[in-house]
Amino acid sequence: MLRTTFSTVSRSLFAKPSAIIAVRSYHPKVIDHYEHPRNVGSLNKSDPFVGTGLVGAPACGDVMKLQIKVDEASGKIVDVKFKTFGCGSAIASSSYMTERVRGMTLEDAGAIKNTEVAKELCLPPVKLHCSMLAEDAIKSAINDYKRKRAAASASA
Amino acid sequence: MSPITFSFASRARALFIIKSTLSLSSSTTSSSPRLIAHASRLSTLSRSASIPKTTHLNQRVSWHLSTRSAPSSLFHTSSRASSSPSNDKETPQKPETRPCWKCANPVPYLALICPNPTCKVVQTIAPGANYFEVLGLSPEPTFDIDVKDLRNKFFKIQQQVHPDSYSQNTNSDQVYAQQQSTLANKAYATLKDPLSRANYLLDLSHAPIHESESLDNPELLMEVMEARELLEDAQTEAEVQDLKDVNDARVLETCQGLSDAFRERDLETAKELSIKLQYWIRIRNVIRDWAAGKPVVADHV
Repeated sequence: MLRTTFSTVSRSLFAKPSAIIAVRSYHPKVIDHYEHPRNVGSLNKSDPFVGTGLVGAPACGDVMKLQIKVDEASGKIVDVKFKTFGCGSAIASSSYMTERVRGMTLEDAGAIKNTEVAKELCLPPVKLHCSMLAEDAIKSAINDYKRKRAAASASA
Repeated sequence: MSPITFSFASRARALFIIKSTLSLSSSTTSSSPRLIAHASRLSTLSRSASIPKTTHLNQRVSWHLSTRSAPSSLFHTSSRASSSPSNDKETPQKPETRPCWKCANPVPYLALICPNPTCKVVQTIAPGANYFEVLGLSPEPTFDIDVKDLRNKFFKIQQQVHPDSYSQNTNSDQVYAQQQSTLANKAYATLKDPLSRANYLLDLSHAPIHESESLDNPELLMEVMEARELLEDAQTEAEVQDLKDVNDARVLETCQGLSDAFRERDLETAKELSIKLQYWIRIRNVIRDWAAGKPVVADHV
């Protein structure tokens, strides 16, 4: 009886070895952002209150653009757009980042770490660099905005 | 599937996906990208995900070194170094012969088959041989490869060691034939394609492009972004063909630059150009898969 049970169990476990091999797949959260990306598009690059971050991942050839529009009085991000050419994780990371930073102060937005993005999207280790790219992109956009404002106040 | 296998498969696939042919030329300006390593961030994360750091950070390297160890630095790691052979002293000299695993007679170090007429077994993989040696090219790594000659050499090797020829042989013959054949496949796939060849040369000279690196080269990124947007907006075959011509020219020019950089052992420029080539090849793959009305989806895994 015991043997029968055992062999039945082992048959059901090992009958189709191909089914056991894990298929690489994205986490549902990544797929959601990928299929319904938030805030895709562009802001006017020459607007004095728009900061543009353009970053790339040299190892895989991804490119990511993230733009923020800042309300000068409150110092908060009032609009944000992104455009990413890359893998699903890179698109999801930037999409998530745009949702996350909307309404934030520049200081808070600049403090967002890639680990938060990776954790939220459940990125596997091989895709961590995508979340780093999103962190670099928002930092780069903030720096661009600050540069613009500094240049504007210097010339004023 | 373990994360290690996962990333291994991803790397292997990436190298196989990038199959290439060359064409044409145009003008792209070269500028020095600022490479920022995020090794500390990455290693923290790798640890938290309980993956050994090395398996992740040096994936490309470990992939190449997994079957055999590559010779140490064949290029100067400092840029603009002149081509003196002094760096070769780091490379341990390989002996000319080694004993056959079966009959113990000496066989040429890189021989695939024992020359002893009464033995003739497939040899084990020669430790330390680089992909150039595996395919019977000059052992000195170079970017300048005659792809036709490479293919002929590859086919000759497969004629000798293809596992199908050893299905009736002893188990060890089969295993060694399979190992040799697999290695030849990897070597051929790596060397025939300019991008993977460039990356392999950078690996050999201990200057690989890490996944943790971030690129802040506005000029290049603007050009890439613009090219991608034009491609995204393209409606007709003719428009895409124009973009293809421009991109093919970029590929060719970058490859010519790589050839010069590797010949001059200028690793810094070689790395810059490899990064550029990665972007152009990605655009080429998108163009290849383009079809009118088909939405642009994520272009790699």
